[in-house]
Amino acid sequence: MTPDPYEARLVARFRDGDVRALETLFDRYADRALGLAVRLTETREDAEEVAQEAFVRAFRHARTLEGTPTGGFGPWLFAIVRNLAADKRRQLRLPTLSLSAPGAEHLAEDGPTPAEEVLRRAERAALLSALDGLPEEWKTVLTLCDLLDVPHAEAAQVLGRSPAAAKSLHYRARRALRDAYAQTWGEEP
Amino acid sequence: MTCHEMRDLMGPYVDDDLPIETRRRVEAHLLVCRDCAWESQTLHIARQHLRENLGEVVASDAFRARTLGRLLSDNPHVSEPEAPAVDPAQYRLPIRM
Repeated sequence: MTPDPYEARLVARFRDGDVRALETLFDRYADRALGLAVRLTETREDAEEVAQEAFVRAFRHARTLEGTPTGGFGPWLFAIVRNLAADKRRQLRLPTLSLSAPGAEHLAEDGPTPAEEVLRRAERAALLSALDGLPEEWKTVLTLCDLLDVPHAEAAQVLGRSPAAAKSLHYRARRALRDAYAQTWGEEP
Repeated sequence: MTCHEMRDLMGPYVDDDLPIETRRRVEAHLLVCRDCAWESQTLHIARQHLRENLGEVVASDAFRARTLGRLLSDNPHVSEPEAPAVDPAQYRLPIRM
């Protein structure tokens, strides 16, 4: 896949020493890299550690290699996030995700009623539980494609598969999530 | 269109990633096949719930500052780009008072 020309220019400018190119690349990917790390690790703290280390390694790679990272900066960065998250899980010997993932504690003041909020939390807990039970590769493709809007071609690079295989994997993962979600939701008291 | 053909098209259909003509054929099939219609609707719902409930992770200012600080110290070759030298004469208007 050909990297985005604007991004390729940013990488070249970063390599030439332009701090603004570094900041722009970081801004483009900060939320998404952290978003992927949050879904693949146990705590927000672990996710931030993984995302930060992934950025450091991705920029080192961009600085030292000739040419743009193959296929673009984003897929490279996401692949590093994925690998580091797997290392983190191995260290902790824990499955991925907790039910107290970030965001659940922040309630808007003029938001839903308490009953709606209870329902939303239960729904969220059921979804997290369903996602938690999926194989890591399925969770990764769902996070990349459904939550972070990463195109299949780029997700394929992160997963080390062809775009067609990534699409097929995405479909199977979504079906599995639906079935697990329905099962978990059905088990809620 | 058969249910077997639909199997390959369901994912792209849910992602709104089909050419118009194929999409029309898929939708014609969904009107007459309850199983495929159920499959399509539940996949749409699963995707929608996923996005609504888990979709947004925002990097905090503290994370941004910490990570940028580390990136800057790890990449000492980067610096502010130098402003181009400006010749004041280029801004002089070609008129005489």
